[in-house]
This record gives sequence, structure tokens and C-alpha cells, in this order.
Amino acid sequence: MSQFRCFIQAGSNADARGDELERRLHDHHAGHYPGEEATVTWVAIPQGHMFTEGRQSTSSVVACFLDHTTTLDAREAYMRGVCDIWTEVTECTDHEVVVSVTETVSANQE
Amino acid sequence: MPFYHALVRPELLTLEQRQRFAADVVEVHCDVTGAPPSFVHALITEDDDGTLPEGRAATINGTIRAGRTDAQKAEIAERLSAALAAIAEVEPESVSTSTRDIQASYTMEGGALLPEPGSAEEQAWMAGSPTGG
Repeated sequence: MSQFRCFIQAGSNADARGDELERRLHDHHAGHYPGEEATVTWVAIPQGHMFTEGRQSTSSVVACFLDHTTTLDAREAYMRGVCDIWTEVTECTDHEVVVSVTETVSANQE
Repeated sequence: MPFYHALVRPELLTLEQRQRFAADVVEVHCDVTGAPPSFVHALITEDDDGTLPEGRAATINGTIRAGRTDAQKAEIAERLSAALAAIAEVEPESVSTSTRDIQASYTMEGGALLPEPGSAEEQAWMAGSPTGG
């Protein structure tokens, strides 16, 4: 099963709006892979433990582990959708969300 | 991206020491690679589960864009291990650093796919980054 692993700053908007983010991530994944569910796990990072450019970070990191291989276009669309969800729900800038994709299957397994 | 995760022995670092290490991560990564500092992330967590090997004070794992040379990666590893050891006042051998490559097109930050290191796209990307590359 595909998975989102979300690293967020404790006390941030992302922390406060986790339920909505999770619902939107489920919808997003099902939109790209109809009929599929994905799990969402959260890691809330305490203040003073994550830094961006050497300063207290306000960023979220959303690591997407997909049970699919992807083309560049499909991958970009998938990550852009996650980025858009984050900026809409948390009101962060697009510099405050990092999205990555890891393909957990190889092409000959799919 | 890059994203550096330091797993440290519990109570090894104070907040001030974590801040100093995070600043060192920026300095080392940008000095070695020329990447813009605004994209450098450092996460520092404590080894509450006791997963660090005996005698190990900390491990640092960096996820960086593929395309850096082996020499660059070795320099990053050496300098970050030394920096954390100095800040924590532990033996340099008790800190280890490794890096993992990720293809640039598998990461989006700042609303765009990251460019490949050394590409023409990277020049434009760096010019437009929040800290101007």
C-alpha cells in the first residue's frame, strides 16, 4: 500500500489541520490511482529540532512512498497536487513544503 | 532538499548546540556544492529507542540530489562528522555521516521540481531562489 509520511512542525497549522490534510491526501491519491487507498503517518517535530537555512524551520516534508513506477509528468503532477493541498490547507508558501516520491516497486513488479 | 538527519544520543546537544550544528550543515553543504542555503534542512532527533551502536554518539544521514561527486560526498561526510563532534565535545570517531542520492526530479520544493546539479536549469533555479543561490 502506498504511504504518505509527513514531517511537520509541532504547533504549526499543519499540526492543527492534520485531519483535513489527511482527508485531502487520501482523495488526492485516489484521484491518481482510482480505487486505491494510502496510509498517512505523522511525525510532529518539536520546536528547536528542525532547521531550514540554519533557522527554526517552518517547513513540512511530505514523503510519498508509491507502490507504482512513475513517469516524469505523472510524478510532477502528483507532487504538485500534494504541494497545492499543503499551501491551501495550511496557508504556507510553496517554499515551506518539500514533497518527495519514492517508488517502492520496480517496473517489472508492477 | 538537501535533508540532513542527525540521530544523537539523548541529551547530547542543547538547543544552542543544535542551532550551531544546523548552521554548520548549511555552511558545509553550500560550501561543497554551491547549492542555495534556503533549501538546506537539518533535523536533529534523540535516540530514545537506543538504536545507536555502542560507542556511537551520533549518526548523520543526508539525502542529497544525485550528481554530486564521490569527493564532494566524502568532504561533506568528513566535515559534518567533525563539526558535530566538536560541538558535542565527543570523539570524532563516535560520529558517522553517510549520504543517500535522490534523483532531482523525485523532489518538489518551492513549487517546482528540483533541477539536476550542474544543469542549465539549475542556474536559473539558483538565480530565482529566495537567497539568490
